[in-house]
Amino acid sequence: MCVKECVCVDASLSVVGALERVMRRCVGPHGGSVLFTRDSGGTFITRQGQQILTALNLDHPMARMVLECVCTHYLLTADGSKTFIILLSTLLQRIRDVTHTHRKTCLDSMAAARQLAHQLVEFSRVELDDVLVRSVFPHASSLFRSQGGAVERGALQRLISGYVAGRLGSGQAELLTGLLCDLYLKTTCGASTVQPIQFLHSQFSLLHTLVPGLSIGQSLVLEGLVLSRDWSVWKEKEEPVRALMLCESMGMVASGVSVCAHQDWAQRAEFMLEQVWERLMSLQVHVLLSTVRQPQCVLQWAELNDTAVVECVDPTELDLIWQISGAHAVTHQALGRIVTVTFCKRLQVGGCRYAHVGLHPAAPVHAHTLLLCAPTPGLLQQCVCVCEGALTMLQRVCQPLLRQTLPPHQTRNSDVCQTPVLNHSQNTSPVLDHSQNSSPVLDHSQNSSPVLKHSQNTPPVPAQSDSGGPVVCAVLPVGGMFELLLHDALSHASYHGYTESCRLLAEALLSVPRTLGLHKPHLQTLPRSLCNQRQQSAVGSGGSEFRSSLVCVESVSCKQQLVVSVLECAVRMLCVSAVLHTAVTYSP
Amino acid sequence: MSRLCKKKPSVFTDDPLANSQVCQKLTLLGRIVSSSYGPHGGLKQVHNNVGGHVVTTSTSSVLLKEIQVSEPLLKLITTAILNHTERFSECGLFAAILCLGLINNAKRLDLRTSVAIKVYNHLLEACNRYLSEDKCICKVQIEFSSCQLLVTLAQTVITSKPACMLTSKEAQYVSSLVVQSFLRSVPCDSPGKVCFGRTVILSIEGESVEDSAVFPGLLVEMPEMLRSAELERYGPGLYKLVLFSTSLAGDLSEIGEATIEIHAGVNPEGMVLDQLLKLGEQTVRDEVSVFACQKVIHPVLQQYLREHGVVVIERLGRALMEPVCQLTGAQEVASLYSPVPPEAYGQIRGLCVRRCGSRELLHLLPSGDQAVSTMLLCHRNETVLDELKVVCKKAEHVLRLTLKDPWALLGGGCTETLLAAYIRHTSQGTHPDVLSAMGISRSELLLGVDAFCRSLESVALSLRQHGQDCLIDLSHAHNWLSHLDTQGSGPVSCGCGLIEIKSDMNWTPLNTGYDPFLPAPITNSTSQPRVLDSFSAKVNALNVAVEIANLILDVKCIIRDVN
Repeated sequence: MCVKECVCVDASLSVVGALERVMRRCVGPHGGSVLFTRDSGGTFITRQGQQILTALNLDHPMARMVLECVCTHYLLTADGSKTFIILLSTLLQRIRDVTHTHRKTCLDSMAAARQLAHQLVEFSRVELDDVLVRSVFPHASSLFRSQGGAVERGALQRLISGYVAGRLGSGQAELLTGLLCDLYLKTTCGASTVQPIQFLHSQFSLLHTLVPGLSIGQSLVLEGLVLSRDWSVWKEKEEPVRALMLCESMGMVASGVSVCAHQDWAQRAEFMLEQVWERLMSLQVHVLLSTVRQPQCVLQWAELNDTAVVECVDPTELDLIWQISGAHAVTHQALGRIVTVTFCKRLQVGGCRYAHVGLHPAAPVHAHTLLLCAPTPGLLQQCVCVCEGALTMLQRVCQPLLRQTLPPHQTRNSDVCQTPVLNHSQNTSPVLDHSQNSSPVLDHSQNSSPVLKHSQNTPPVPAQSDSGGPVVCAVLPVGGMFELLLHDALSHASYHGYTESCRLLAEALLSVPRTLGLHKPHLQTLPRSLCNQRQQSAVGSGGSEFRSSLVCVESVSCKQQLVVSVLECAVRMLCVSAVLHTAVTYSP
Repeated sequence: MSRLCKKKPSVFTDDPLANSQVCQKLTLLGRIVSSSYGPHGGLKQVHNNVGGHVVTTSTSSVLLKEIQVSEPLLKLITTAILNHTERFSECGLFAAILCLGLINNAKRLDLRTSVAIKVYNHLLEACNRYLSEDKCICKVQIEFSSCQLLVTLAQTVITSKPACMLTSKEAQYVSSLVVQSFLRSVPCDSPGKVCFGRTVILSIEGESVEDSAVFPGLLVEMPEMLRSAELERYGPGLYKLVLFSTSLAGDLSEIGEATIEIHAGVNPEGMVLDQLLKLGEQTVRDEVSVFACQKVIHPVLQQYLREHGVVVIERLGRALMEPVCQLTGAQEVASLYSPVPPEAYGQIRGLCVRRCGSRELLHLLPSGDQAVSTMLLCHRNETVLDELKVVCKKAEHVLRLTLKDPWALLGGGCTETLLAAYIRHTSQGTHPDVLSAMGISRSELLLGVDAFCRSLESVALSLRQHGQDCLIDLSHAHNWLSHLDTQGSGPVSCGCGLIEIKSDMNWTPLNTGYDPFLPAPITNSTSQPRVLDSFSAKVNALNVAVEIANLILDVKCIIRDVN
């Protein structure tokens, strides 16, 4: 038994439209959050688009397909899921409008829509890179001041706060941004590499500790690692000491051999332990980190011999310590892995105790731990998700630096010189310039939503197009700047063979700044900064500078990925012509 | 495969705060918490519909744990408050009332949520700044040279929990006991690192409250075979004690999962018993007087030890091990195969028997000034005793918090009215730059300020009894309660008891508006406050309440997984 459901553009549109209505509540820093209760009864708060969509347990096959696309996109950039839905919805709407006017039947319009979508994807593959290099990158600035990837706190803060602001309440977002910057800067210990981002991203689950019940303002970044357990035997160590990692019990039955109950077996086991003690003493091991529970006699020995012990440590934590220690780690034949810890402390916070060890700052990273406090576990979880997302996003932004394998003299020296860098010292407010002809101006006369109107006489200024390539780790101010620039480029230049599809995309792109602007009381900030940019790059004064230090930024490469992902999703949706609902009967 | 079923789509609720059902539930929770607040709060009896344990309480930590809420928004509030009370023991109801007030007032005044959140955050910062300043007039410095303020602090905690069923005399007695045990737990001039002592609470049902007491040292169950006459020879003097954490029952339980091969002619039980007796011999040789074990001791060993005049204490339990170590300086011995090292022995100053009602307890006296004490709590029945135990723990925790922040806040609603008056006054002159940074207009700010201050004042209002009026004086901004019996006559004294009544004072009812003024500090007053609240607990409660209120105001929809 099958039920056939014809899918035309309208059907896809209604599905995406429904999703869009949910998303619109949570977009941007002024959107709200969603409270989600699990089937197990736990509550969870979120503002991340991908999580909201997943939580909905979508039923319609088309909706599930959209969710799949959103998840794929999220894995790549950890950003833009809400914009994804909004952009997709507007794009489908435009396609529907265009195709409906010409054709009568559903099948006809479907074919036309499909053709348009294919054209768009092809455009994104062939031309989009060039378009961005010509018209978006000249306005962008690099996140990094120098070639090696050293990042200043101010620049990092703008990037992270741009990300966090859309995902947490205002007060919390500010605090979390500061914490993440602290974590990153302390972990890099001033070195100019991007490896710490990879390290933080891959090990974040071990680099944070959650404390429910305190207000979020009490969170902080601590030196060293906080283990998930408390010391079984606690001896405070201020100076570097050696630590032994154990993966099995040191007691008599540790090795799994059967106990032989002949005369004196117990004494013999005791004797074997004595030998181990002597070896430990000779190696000057004063800390035992064990993944399993140790017998009482081991603890007693430790108590008497000034040795700290922590039991039941997560093995991955030990691996991390081993990995960070690098040069300070040795392997002993009989005992196992031995590392040096710089201090042993007991961290007492919020009624819980944790073992806290310090590690030598090894080459690229200096291990630090983020201590996150919040009144409820749900809020804590939200903060953790935001942190993880922010780190994924950072990693994505820094990918070009990681890929750079060219020798130093070839790495686009000219580009680096001309790369505009975020200026942190200037704090002046944005300069107003309404007289600029080339700048898009707001048209309030038609309706309340901001509509951008272009004066026709000025072509876009292709600044820096000859500089040899796009800016490394380029960033733009948040709030639809990227979409406006791309819209501008697409609607003014003509690309052979893609005229209609470009116009469609250009119109659809405007929906993003429009949505963000809806909540904003001060609409003027956006075009103002844009015209400011224009003026400076036209003059060629060596780079655009963001005048206001409050402007948050977002990555251009994430945004580009977003456009590509949306176009691909649209094609996938439009390729479906029918849904077959098969009724499966289960045999008992 | 037949078990596999499709997941149902989630249920989507839009704008939950506009939903009348949710609002009703919020109001109900508000009524429950505000009616339980303070010394005159009503008790709540909680029982489920299939019978079972009945709980009578007005303490937030017990009450909120017992009420099962299904509404996700309410669950968010209750878990946040339970987490707070777990950390700080106190001010849970304060946080709940404030949080619900903030949500309610934002809705009542029709504030946009983003505006309300911004203003609340801004005002919270202002409050935190003011409370941490030295010139803040809501707080009193705790001086440890006199214990008057400490007793007041403990007494406020105890009297604010009416479910303890204490008369005022009893409350005073219990608070003095709490302060006593707290002072005992602070070590005197011990060299090196200072380690906090501990108080073990023992409860005995059916005796009067006046029989409660605090003893230095530890009280443990009287061993069955011990006669009190045998203890007479343990007068003042130093006695050795050995403490085992491993089982001395003669079994091979420590071996765990491993297989045992037994050679012919070998008797493992006999071997272990021999080993036990060797231990016994060693302890007798080392002149040990008390032989204690966390777990069970083999009867033969017990018999042997008793014959040699050693007092045997078995089945101490894990909870008492650390206090015994701390009291005696002994180290837990974990192995019976090696001789007990000499440094593992501990010392006590003597043993005696304490009788309380029908129970006999063995008292281990400390050899020095170890900060270990036992608090014996007595009350008439189980329900009130449970509550009293919880309350005493809370009171001691509150006292400990003063060591970190040696401050206390004025109680009786005075801190709330003072803070509200201060916030009203200072936000009058908010700089336009601050407003533009927040992106709100002045009128929106003033609305937000009104919502915030009214919420604070609603906490003070919850303190009144039925038929009473809450008043605020227009010079110091303290909270005053009117006479209960005689209608219309003026108040007697302010909530915290710091100000006496004067002829030139003006009052206005708290829930009506008043012109903003800066609360004046109290000069040349000799009176001490009668009601004090914990500083750390209240500041954290304030922060938690505002954060949770903001979180809830921010929720635009609820997605409920119904699988």
